[in-house]
Amino acid sequence: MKRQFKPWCALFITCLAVLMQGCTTVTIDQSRMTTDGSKSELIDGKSIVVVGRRSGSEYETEEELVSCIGSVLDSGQTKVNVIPETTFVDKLYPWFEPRTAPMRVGDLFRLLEYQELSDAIDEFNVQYLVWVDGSTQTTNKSGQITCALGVTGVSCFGFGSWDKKANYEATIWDYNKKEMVGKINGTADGTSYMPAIVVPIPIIAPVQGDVCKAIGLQLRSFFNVDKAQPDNQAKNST
Amino acid sequence: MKLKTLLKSLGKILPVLAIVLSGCSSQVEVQGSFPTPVVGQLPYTLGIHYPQSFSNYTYIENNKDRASRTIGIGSAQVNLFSTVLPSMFKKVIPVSDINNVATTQPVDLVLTVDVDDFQYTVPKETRVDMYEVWIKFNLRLFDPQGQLIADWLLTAYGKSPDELMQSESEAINQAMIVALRDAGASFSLSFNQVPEIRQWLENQSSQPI
Repeated sequence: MKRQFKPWCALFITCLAVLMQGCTTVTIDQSRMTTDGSKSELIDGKSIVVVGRRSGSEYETEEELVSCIGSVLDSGQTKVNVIPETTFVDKLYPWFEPRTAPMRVGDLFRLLEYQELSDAIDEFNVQYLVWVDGSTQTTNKSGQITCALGVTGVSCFGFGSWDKKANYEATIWDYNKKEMVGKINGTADGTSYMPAIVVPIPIIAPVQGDVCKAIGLQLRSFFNVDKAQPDNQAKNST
Repeated sequence: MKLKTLLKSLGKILPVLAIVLSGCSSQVEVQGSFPTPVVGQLPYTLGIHYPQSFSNYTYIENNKDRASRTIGIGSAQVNLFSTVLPSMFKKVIPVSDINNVATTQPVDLVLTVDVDDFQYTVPKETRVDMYEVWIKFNLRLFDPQGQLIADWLLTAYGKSPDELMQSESEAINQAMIVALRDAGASFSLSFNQVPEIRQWLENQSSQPI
């Protein structure tokens, strides 16, 4: 017997999928800082490296966020050669560790006077270095979920919610021009919910994922990778 | 029949209880690899001596106010120095007896390293979502005749964020790897800057070959 397609079933699954995700508001600000007013375009065959700053004492730029930005940067029709953070940092050990990484663009070029380091960086064919600094924090928690262990198993009841705020700054250094060429600030706020009636159902706001996507896309626009995209201050809300 | 039901219930509860109780103590044997540093190589042969107290170093938590933890660092720190030293010196030779080097091994310098202090904090204690570790190493450098050239301390710090779905052992291991990388970075970049070592190197370079 042939099964009939039920439109209400598809509609229900779609609505559930939408409802199961919390809402996030993302804001992106970009500024260019080139001394000659030129745009930053990625030269064919050149690479970009995205590295996280880890010098903050009370937070740490998450590795997965840095990796996610790299993936988004390399995700469009035009491929971008993005060097993975660990590959770059390990190859240039000990110069890009939390306590030794150059804080200003001038510091990097002072380090390059050391020939072996300069040769090691040249092997990557780097054109731009993107430093990502920031973190995602839980700002507020409310509600209560109680779980009880019985003979039939664990059952929970209650409601919980929490707010998350992601705040990141991507600083772009031009390795060839030896200058800082721009900054992209990305912030995202979102509230996640967890109702529990026997089983807890998490409705998560993908705060970090959304800010990563927004910064990654803005970086593609900054480097003019997708020529059609507008390259000015953008403000997105999802 | 009642006994059977009770046993069934216990069968369900015991694994959960075991997981809950295992959260009260943890044992970590730090494991990880370290990259080779990009640093200038000194044209000297170094003898390296790892005392037992260093190569088998294990931190055992004795504070009754803290959860019971055992953190084994010895093999990881030997692994670190075994990776870093060959890129800093022309040749590195393991030395078993530091008092009898001149007669057995043709070396220019002998280095010995030990752990002076180790501390850690977990998020519950600091209210910061970070596992943090501090290690203080005591390094001593001798000439082949056993004369002390330099005796200095090297501090290292590492942290790892408290992440969902990550065990405490994994987080401490990650923080330890960051701290040991920091130690390797600090050691390889500051070795020539220790005043007594700089003096020794200047004396060597001024001597006719």
